[in-house]
Amino acid sequence: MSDAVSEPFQPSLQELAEIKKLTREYGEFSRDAVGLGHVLGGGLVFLSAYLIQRQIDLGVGARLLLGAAPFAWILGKEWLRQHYYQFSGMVAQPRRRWESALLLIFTGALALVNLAVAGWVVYRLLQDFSWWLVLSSVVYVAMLLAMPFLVWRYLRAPYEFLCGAFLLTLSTVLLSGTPLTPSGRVGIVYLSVVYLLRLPAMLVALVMVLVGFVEHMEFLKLRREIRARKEAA
Amino acid sequence: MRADVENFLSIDRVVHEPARLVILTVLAEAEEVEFRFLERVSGLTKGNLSSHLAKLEGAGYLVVKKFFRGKLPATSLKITRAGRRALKKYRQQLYRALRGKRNPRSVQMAN
Repeated sequence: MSDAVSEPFQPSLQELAEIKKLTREYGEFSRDAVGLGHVLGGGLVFLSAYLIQRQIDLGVGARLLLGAAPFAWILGKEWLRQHYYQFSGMVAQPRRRWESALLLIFTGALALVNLAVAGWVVYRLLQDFSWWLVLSSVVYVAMLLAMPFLVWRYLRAPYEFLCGAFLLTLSTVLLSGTPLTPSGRVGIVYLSVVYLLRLPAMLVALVMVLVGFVEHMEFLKLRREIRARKEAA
Repeated sequence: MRADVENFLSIDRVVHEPARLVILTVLAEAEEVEFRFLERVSGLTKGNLSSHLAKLEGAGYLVVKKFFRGKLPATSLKITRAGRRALKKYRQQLYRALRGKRNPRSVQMAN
């Protein structure tokens, strides 16, 4: 029986190498939604850091908007990944070992710090109980506990970790309102961490915006190459 | 000489077919690949690609997973250990067969 699917399809070794390269590069965009995702995240970090720098007295609306920034970033990144960077479907690529190890160390450290802060909030609450503090602290503790998971699940690219931790920390403070309540001692401690993270986060954000732009240009080139292959076939 | 001929004759015919070689090469570069990407990058038609995938699946070189992306059905493919082993063995056999007759760097480029 003849092989009905055989056809004059003879890729050269060079073509095979080219296909491998395209798959690897496409897989990276498909996995991390770098490029515009980086630009979006870097922009949000700058905006947040600028508002802190100016010490603008934020109203409830502005606090909510700024508090929602990391979630907007995560949603935007996921949308870009699924609807833009995966224009030819998903290609799942394993992460390099050093990247996974680094992420594990950073996330572990973040989880430990957050657990310690959450434990202290609960301890203070038990000593100085009031329903107003309970309401405020529930949001605060919930955000602290969710933060390592969010970073681990959605902000895995090397540049994203510091910016993600900064935005989520700021969001925790802004959404729970702890600096303005009697439990302000906890909030102030945490707010000082936000101030400490601000400068490194801004530096990383600047690099992230630039790298994101370059990566997006590379993606456009990659898209042209993949489309050209399909049209040539 | 006899060893060379035996080596050449023992080449895995499932992998040796150019379209299937492209498919395995792409799959070996990733953990999981969606059908749509493979279709674009290989330049094969849907029907051809499906036939080759069925052969590779039959040989145990890949697994096919059907799922829904929203309301649309989608297919993803994953190379098996046997598939990776077969591809590696094929490359080694091809390299040995071509050694001395071509510039080995051109073979390494595809590895």
